[in-house]
Amino acid sequence: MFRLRSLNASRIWKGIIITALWLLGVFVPLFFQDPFVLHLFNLVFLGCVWALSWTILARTGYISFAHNAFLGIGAYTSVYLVMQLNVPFWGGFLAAGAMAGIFALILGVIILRLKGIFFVLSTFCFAQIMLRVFRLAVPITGGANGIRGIPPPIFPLIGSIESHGQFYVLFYIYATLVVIFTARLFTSNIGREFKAIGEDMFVAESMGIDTTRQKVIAFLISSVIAGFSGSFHAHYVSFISDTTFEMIKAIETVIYCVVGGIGSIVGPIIGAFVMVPLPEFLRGFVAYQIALYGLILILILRFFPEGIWGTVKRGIHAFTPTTPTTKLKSLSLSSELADGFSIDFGDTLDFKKGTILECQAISRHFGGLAALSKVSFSINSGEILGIVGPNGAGKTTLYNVITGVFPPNQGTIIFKGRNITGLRPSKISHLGVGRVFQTRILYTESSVKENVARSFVPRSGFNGIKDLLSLEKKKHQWVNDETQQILTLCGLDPVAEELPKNLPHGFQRLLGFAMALATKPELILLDEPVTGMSIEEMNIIGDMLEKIHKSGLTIIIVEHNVNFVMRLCPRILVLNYGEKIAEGTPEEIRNNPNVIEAFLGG
Amino acid sequence: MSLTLLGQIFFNGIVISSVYVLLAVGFNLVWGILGIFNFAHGHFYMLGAFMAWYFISGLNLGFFAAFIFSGICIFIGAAIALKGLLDPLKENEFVCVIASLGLVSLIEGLVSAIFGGEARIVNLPVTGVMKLGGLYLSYPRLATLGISLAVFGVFLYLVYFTNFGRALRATGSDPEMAQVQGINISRIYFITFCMGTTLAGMGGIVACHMTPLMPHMGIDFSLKAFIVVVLGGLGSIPGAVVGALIIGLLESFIGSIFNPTIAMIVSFIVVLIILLVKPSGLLGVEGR
Repeated sequence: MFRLRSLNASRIWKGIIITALWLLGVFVPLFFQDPFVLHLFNLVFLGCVWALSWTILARTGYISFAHNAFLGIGAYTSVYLVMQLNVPFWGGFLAAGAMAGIFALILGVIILRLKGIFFVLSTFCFAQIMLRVFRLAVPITGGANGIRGIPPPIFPLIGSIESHGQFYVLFYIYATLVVIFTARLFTSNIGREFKAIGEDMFVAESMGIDTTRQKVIAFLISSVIAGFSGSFHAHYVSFISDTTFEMIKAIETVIYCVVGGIGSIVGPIIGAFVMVPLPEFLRGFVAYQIALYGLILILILRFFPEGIWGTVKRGIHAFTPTTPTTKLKSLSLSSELADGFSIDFGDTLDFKKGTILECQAISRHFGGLAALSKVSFSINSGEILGIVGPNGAGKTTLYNVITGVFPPNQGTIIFKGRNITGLRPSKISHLGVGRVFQTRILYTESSVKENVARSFVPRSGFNGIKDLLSLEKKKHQWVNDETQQILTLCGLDPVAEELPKNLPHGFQRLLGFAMALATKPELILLDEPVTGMSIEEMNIIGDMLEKIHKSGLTIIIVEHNVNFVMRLCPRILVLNYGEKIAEGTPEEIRNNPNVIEAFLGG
Repeated sequence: MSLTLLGQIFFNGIVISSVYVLLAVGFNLVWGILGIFNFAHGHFYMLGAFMAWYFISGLNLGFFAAFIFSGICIFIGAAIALKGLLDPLKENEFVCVIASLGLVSLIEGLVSAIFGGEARIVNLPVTGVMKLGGLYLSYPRLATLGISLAVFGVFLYLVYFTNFGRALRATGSDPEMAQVQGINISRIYFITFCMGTTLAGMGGIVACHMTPLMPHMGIDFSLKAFIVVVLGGLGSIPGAVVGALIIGLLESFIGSIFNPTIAMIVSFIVVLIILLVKPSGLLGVEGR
């Protein structure tokens, strides 16, 4: 209770500080009437927006060097419409965002399937192509000579914005709106999915987040804001040419974010406030201006690699007394966990009779290696099936094929009477196949609670736009409630705020379990659930699985430990070198000569 | 278009390609083995060209003396850049990229502060043209081609026929394993970076007479190195050669027939397609 109150108090202080700083910003033009100072502030605000809009995509783990291209697309669209076609400013402004959005949509669909550095490089290529297109498309862009005398923005009712002071107000409002929007976005369900993708795309996809769609959305939002900024920029400085949108512009966003600190909203803002005015302060050194800019950047990175805000935050952490956390090392799975484990799937299971999953002659090979060849089996609803086999027998490959990580080369997979061969993992997860991974496949940077909650988010059925307008409180509440339930059920309550890597092994497995249960599965695939556990822990997990099974869930267990499987599963399948060599009751398996040879002989 | 003209364009393309080979092979090593995407790579090329101008036109040294002195200067500069900046930040690939941008700014700023902003032109002591069939092969360009090939030959010898080269290739394919086998990988990293960067510098030295020198031309050459490496395949030396030939010839042909801007657009489109279709590059190894 006390902890809760102090948390609220610190939030209130945060709110007060932010509001005070914001109000201070409102009165800046009163104190500084020098147009040059106001001009600098205006550039800083545009810089903040610039860096924040880039951060939205970076949240999903994708680094773009094409942001300058969208700035250019927005600027040229707006200027062309306003100057050549006499469209009112607001029309040009909206069109700028729309045009940037269209480009982003097309480009995003094509290149967002690339991962890591390859995505970065392809954005980079796109930007380089666009820059040269700007230079060549003289009738629209004016080419290298650029466009002069761009009129200032004119708003209906308000009139034209001309002086630096007026622009100050405009950009202050613009930056404020973008900051609020970004903050909103990051705490919304959609932002949570962005973060999930950024932390681990594989887990996100497996837990039911449509990663492709969300990445394109992030790219779209980020680029539309860049397009708006392009329009404002052009009508503010009144002159643009292809060099306005040079690569340095794309690099600037990255510099602001890295200098300020990646991964927060405050970071890019601090970065813009430090790095935008820097060249002006260095103007006194004339010839050495560029070199000094580089030197200062290098020094900041060298000594504050986490960025300014990252370093400040660590400083604050070092000075605040931390509440003593649970003694993690002494935690162990207790038998109470299994005793108290009660779960009822009655209402979520819509498939209660007959064959729930059927694999028909599935084969999968990697190069010349056949990881699976013509494996067929089926499992009835409510059954518990064990799959055993020596190392390299193809057990994990089988799971990957069923859950859609990669499609089989041949064969079909039927789930609940529906052909799911070749569907994406997120789709298969939504249909009701849950998976508990073998190794530590989790969101490593987020708390246990957040790990579980992210499995619920794609199932809460939130509406993105309503969510951003904070109209989806009920669905947030639903996610929180469900998460709490699962955490209590799996005995993860005491460690809910910890990072998964700090947990003892058994609890990490439990977390994987909790995440899979949270996807509301009807069939759950367990990959070596008791590897590395003691006999007692194994028994606890075994008891838990029995209870889950009794409540009606269908279970497949892949396991090395044959005794464990024989205890739980009335029917067992044996794989060796990617082929099914036996199937039957534990007794039959034990006496099957093929199986004996596979495990003991050879 | 006459055959002689085509031949002339082809010759120019080959000369440019030979310079790109030096540029790209260094970029390839630094990116492939150290994992550093060095935006300042082309700036060492630019630095090499300016050093050559300084020694040749400023101090009236002979070309070979200039070549050696410039090479040494670039090597030292690379060592400072690595030890002072990039190496300590190597943990975070991304911060490292930004740090290399800081280096871009620093080098460009220093060069324009020292040499001034106006274009510099190097007049080599060698002049004249060799006529071959209908072709005009200028001696400076032939020298560029010859020296580039010689430098590249020495480099190949180092990588494929010495113990150092063996250690380098081992580190490239599996740094942990190399370490277990007793290879001092941080030393290999150091030499690789300095060598790769010096190769770029040497590219700048041998090509210094072909274009007017400007401090801001560095980034263009980083881009070209990047295009060639992605095209040929990261981590592949033959790939870098093939990529350099493609880009050099493409640039020469499209640049002569249309204009250099379109040549750049075409090269970037080619790279974009390669990234989408075969991200590992033409001769790259899958899964790197």
